[in-house]
Amino acid sequence: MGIISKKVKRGEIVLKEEMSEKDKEFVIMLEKYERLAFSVCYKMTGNYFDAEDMTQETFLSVYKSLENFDGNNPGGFITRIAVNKCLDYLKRADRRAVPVEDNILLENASYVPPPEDGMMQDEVKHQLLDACNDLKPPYNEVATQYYCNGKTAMQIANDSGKKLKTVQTQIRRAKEMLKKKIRKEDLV
Amino acid sequence: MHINKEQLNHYIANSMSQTEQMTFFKHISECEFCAEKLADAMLQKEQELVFTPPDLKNNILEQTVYMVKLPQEAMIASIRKKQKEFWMYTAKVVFAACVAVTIIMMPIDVFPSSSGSYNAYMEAKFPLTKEITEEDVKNNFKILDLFRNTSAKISNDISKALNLDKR
Repeated sequence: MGIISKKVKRGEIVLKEEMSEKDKEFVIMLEKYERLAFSVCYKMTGNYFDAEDMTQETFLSVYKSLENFDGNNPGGFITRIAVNKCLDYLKRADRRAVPVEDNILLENASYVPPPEDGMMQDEVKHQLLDACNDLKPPYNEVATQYYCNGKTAMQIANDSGKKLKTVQTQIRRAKEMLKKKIRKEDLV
Repeated sequence: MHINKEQLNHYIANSMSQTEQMTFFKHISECEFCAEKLADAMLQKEQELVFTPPDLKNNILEQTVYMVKLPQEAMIASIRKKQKEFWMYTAKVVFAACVAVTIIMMPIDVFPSSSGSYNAYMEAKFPLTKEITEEDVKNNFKILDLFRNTSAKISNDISKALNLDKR
């Protein structure tokens, strides 16, 4: 019933006059720096799904601290928050991992050389496609549509005739499964 | 010590060891200046930034911009709607109750002469004063006999007609 939800469909972001200056600024920042933040998070966490969570946390923090932000170089501001979020995540992940005696050994063992320059996109796509295909139906299809074909939950719902809520739930579950899977693979 | 260009290039080219990377990030987490440099360097190679999940932006907006604004508007609207529904429902119930009460009370209004009950009214209007005599009974039977005879006659006629047809 709200003014914004009536006018903004999922998948397209429109600035409205009713939005406060702060909100407008945030939407512009999100639009402009989403991929930057995501890339930082991806490089640091090493997996797509944790990067998604970290990007989300980053922007929630950005939104909360927007009042203290002087407006100079939002890219740097966001990057710093993203890096901090990911460092916290890595600390948590370290604690979650097997008790470590020889830190350096484990670091080296789990060290996967990141894709070479310019290969990032393809590498990520391959990884995602493989992971999505391994899921059970109906999650494999939904996950492939969402993560590999770049369709929003709304589009998938429209194409398949499923309810939006169902699709959203399936995506969420698929993501949980993919996360566990990728973490396991990382440990091996 | 701030990050130099060489380190930045190493980072962009993914040719840093993990330990180097950790030092690099730890510095950036504390230094706005270097965070800015990293952001600019990454934005210059925008085509190499990783594509994001399709609904990420929306999910973030739902937890921020929409979250703060919408609930207030939406909540007021939904409360108003609920209030309206409640009053409509109440009005309906009250109306139904009124109708029911009117129907129950109607005999009292319609039969004002009686002392309030239907039977009393009927007795007042059609008093059972006359006693039933033998003649009344006989008269009643006469009517019954007449009816019986007539029906017998008609059935006889019909059967005769049918028999004639057969012959």
